[in-house]
Amino acid sequence: MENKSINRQILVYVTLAVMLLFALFPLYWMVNTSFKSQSEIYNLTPNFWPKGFTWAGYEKLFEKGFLGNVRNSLIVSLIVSLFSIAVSMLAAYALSKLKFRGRKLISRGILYAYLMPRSVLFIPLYMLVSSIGISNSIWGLMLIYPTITIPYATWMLISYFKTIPDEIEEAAMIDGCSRVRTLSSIILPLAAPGLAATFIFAFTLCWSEYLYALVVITKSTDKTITLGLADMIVGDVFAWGPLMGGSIIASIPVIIMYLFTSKYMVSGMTVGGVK
Amino acid sequence: MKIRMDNKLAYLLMSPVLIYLLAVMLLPFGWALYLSFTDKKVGMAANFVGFGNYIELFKDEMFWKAVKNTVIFTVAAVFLKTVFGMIMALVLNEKIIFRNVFRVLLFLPWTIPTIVSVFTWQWIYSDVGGVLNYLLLKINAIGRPLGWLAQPDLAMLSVIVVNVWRGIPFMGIAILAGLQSISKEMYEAAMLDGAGAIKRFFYMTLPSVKEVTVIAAVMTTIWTLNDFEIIWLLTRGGPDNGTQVLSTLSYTIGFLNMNLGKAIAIAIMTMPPLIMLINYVTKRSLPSGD
Amino acid sequence: MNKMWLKKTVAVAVLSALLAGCSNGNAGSDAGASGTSSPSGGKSKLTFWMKKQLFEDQNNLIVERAKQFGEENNVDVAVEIIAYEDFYPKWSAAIESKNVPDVSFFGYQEIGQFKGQGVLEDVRGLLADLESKNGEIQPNLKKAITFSDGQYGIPFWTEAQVLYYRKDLLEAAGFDGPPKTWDEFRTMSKALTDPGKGLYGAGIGYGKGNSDAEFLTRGIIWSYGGSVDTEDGKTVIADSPETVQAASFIRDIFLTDKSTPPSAIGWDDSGNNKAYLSGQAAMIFNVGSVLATIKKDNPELYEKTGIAPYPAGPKGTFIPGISNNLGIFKDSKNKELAERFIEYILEPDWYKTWVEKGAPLTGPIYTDLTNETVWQDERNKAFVESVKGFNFLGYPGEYNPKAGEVFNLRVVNDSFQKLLLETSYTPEAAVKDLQAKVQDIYNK
Repeated sequence: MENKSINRQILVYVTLAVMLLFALFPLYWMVNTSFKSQSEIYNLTPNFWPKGFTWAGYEKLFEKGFLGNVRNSLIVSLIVSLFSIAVSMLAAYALSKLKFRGRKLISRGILYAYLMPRSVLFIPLYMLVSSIGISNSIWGLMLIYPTITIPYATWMLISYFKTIPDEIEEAAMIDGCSRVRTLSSIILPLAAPGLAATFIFAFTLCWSEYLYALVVITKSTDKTITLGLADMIVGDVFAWGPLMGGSIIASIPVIIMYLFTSKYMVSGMTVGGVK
Repeated sequence: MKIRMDNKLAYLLMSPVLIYLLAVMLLPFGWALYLSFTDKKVGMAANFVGFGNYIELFKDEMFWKAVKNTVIFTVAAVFLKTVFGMIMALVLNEKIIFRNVFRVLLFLPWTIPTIVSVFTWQWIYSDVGGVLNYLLLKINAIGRPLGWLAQPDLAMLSVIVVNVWRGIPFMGIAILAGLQSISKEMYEAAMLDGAGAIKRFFYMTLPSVKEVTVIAAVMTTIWTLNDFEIIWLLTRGGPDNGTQVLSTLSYTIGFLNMNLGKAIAIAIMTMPPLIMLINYVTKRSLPSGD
Repeated sequence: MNKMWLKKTVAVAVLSALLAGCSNGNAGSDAGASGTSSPSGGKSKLTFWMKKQLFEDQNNLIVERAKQFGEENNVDVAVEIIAYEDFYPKWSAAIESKNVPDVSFFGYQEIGQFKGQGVLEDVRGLLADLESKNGEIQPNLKKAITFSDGQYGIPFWTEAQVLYYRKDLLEAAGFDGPPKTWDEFRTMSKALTDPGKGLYGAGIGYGKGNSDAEFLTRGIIWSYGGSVDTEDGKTVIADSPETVQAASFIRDIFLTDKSTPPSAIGWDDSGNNKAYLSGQAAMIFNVGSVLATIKKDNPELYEKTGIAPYPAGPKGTFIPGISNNLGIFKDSKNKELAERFIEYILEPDWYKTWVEKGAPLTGPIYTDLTNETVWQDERNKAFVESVKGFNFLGYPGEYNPKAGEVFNLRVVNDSFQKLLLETSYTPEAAVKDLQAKVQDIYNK
C-alpha cells in the first residue's frame, strides 16, 4: 500500500512536469524573445536567454498607446461577460429547473445558436452595427460579442445547475421561500463556482477575439489588444520585441482574474457536499 | 416529485437571452441563409440562384479537400484536447504541493490571445532561429531543419499542436470542476472496498464527470471546427492546400474573391453535421430531457 | 428594399431588446449616447483610410497633413491607418453597408477589382489637373489605373522588388557582381548553398498567401516569354513552351539544386526577410522594406548588402510593378472634398518630404522627383530605375480585374507549391493545370 502510493506520487509529478513543460515553454519563449534586440532575434541559432537584454520592445509598445488598447479590451470584456452571465444565469435556471412548454426546443435552439460559424454572421452583423451607428466603436463589439458568450454561458450554466439536487430547492420552497428567493439565496451561492468559471471563460473569449474587432474597429482610440498587437506587424516586417512584450502584458489581467476567482472555484465544494 | 408548470416565470427569466438571440443572431442568420442562395458579390446586387452555390461546391474538388482537412483537424484536435484535459484534471485533483500555483500555470495558454500565441508558435516553428528545430537537431532527433509549415502533413500536425496547446486548459478546468463535485465520502467508501485506482477511474470518476466532459467536448468541437485564426495566420490554408479547412476557404472566397453568397454557403454547410453530432451526443448523455 | 426593411427591423429590435431586457442597462443606453454618426455642428467630415507604412515617420506625417487640411478647410478629417492584410474584410464590410471612407488607399489590383464591381469613381479629371499643376506622373503608373472608360485611381507611390545580395558571400564564392541573368542566378545560388552551415543561395519561397512569390514568379515567367494571363483579355495563353521553361527553371532551383531553405515552400511574406536578416539566404527578392530595416537595426549587414534590379531572362528584364493609389468610392458623401484632399496630399513640396522619408521603400510618382539626390545613392538607385521596366498583372494583355482576381486567389502560388512538393508532377502538367484554373476565372 505504502509503495503503491509512492509510485502514484511519482507518476503524478512526472505527468505534471511534462504538462507544465508543454504549456509553459512557448510562454517562456515569448518572454525570452521580448527582451532580445532585433538583430539577436534574427540569429540563426537561438539564445535561451537574451544576451543583450533590452526594454526597447516594451518602450515601443507604450509609445504606440498599448495601454489604451488594454483599457478598451478590459471594458468590452468585463461588460460583455458580466452581462452575459447575468442573463444566461436566469435562462439557464429556467431551462434546468423549471418545467414549461417549449423547454426542449429552446435549449436546443440555444445550443444551435452556438455552433453558427462566424463567417455566416460576419457581414450581417457588421451591417447591423453600422445601421445603428455604432460601428467603429467598442459599443459595436459589445453588441456583437454576446453572440459568442451568451449561448456558451447558458449551456455551461445549465450543466452546473443540473448538479444541484432538486431536493434542496424543494426544501426551501416548503419553508416558504418564493422561486425568486430560492434562486437568489440558495441556487446562486451553490452555483458560484460554476458562475466564476463561466465568467472567466467568457471573459477570455472576448479578450482574445480578433476577427469581429478587425472589421468593426478602425479608429485607433477604440482598438482592442488583439488589434493593437496585430498593428505591430507592418507588411512583411514583424516587430517581435513589442509583439511578445504586448502579449505578456495582455495576459496579465486574465491571470489576475483567474487567481482571484480560483480560490472561489476551489472553495465551491458545496455542490458535491450535499450529494 | 409533482410536475409543476412554470410557463410564465420561465419565459420571463429567459426573455433577455431570447430577445437578444432572436435579434442579433436569428434575423441576421435568416438574411445570411438567403444570401447563400444568391450570387451575391461584395458591392453588387444579389440574384437568386437557388441551390447554385451548393451544387457548385459539391462539384468542387477543393471543397471536398477542405471537408477532409476539417474533419482531420477537428477530430484529432478534440481527441487530444479531451485526453490531455482529462489527464490535467486528474493530476490537479491529486493532493499535490502548490496545487493552486500549478493550476494557474497550466491555465496560462488559454489566457493568451490566439493571435499572439500563433505568432509565438510561428517563431518556434521557424527554420531560422526557430527553437524547435534547434532542440530536435541537438538531441539528434532530426538530421536537418524541418520546414514545419512547409509540407502539407507536417503543417497539419503543426496547426493541430497549436490548437491543442491552447485548448487543453479549457477541457482540463471543466473536467476538474466536475471531479471536485465527486464527494470524498464516495471515494473513501470505494477505497475501503479495495477498489484499485484504474477501477475507481472507470467505474466512479469517469461516469461522474461524463456529462461535463461531453458538454465541454461539444463546445470544443464547435470552437475547433470554426477555428480560423490559427490556421489562417500560420499557413493561410497551405502548403498545397494541405491545411485548407472550411473556415479558411470560406474566408478566402468571401473576402479575397468577394463572393459572399458562396462563402456563406460553405459556412452554412458546416452546420447540419454539427447539429446531427450534437443531437446524437446529447441524446445519449443528457437523458434528463422532457 | 428588402434589405433596408430587414436592417431597420433588426436595429429596432436590438435596441428595444437591450433597453428592455437587461437589468444593468448600460450597453443599451450608452450605445445610443455614443453613436458616431452625430454630426458635430454641421462641420463636414472626411474619412481617409491609409495603408500603414513601415516607417512611423511617414504615418505621422500623413496624420499631421490631414489635420492641417482639416483646419484650413474647416472639416473633421479622420485618418485611419490600416495594415494591408486587414483592408480586404474592411473594404467588403464598408462597401456592403455603404458606410465607406471618402478617400482610400488601393493597390492597383484592387483598383481593377473594385472598378469591375462599379464602386469606384472615375477621377480622370483630377488626374489631369494634378499633372498640369505639378508636372508629369510616370506614364507606367498611369497605365495600371487606366481603363477603356476612364481612370479610377490616382497614383500615390511606387514600390519595386529588387535583388538583395550579400556582397561578402558572393565575393568569397568567386563572383564579382550580382547575377545579370536568371541562369546566372541559378548557378550562383547553387555555388553559394552550403546546408552544413545553414546557408542557401536562393531565398525564394512559396507560402500560400505569399504575394512576393506571386510577383516574382510572374517576373520570371515573363522574362522567359511566357504569361499567366491573356493577350486579349479573354483567351488565357499560359500553356506555352516558354511558361513551361520558366516553371522547369524554378523547379530546378528547388528540387535539383536544392538551393532554397528547407521551409521556403511554407514562407509567408516575411519568410525571405527573416532568411536574409538571419544570414540564412544569400540572395532574396524584396521591396525596400528589408533595406530600411537593416539600415536601422543591423548596420553590419547593411554594409554587406548589394542591391540590383531583377536578372534578365531570354526575353529581357521584366519587373512586376507595384503601384499604390488613392481612390474615391462612388458612395462617398463628400466627393469634391475628397478630391481636394488628394490634391493636398500630392502637393509636390510636402509630397517630396513624405515620400523620401520612406526611401527606398516608397518611390515618387512624379517623374521630376526621381532625379532627387536621395535616389542617386548606390543602394537606392535600383528602386526608382525599376519603375521604368514595370509590367503589370495581366501581361501581355492590359491589366484587368480578372488578372487581379487571379493574383488575389494566389493561383500561381498554388500551382507552384504543388509542383515543388510532388515530385511526380511535371512542369508541363503544372502549367496545363494553371492554364485551366486561370481560364476558369476569366470565363466566369
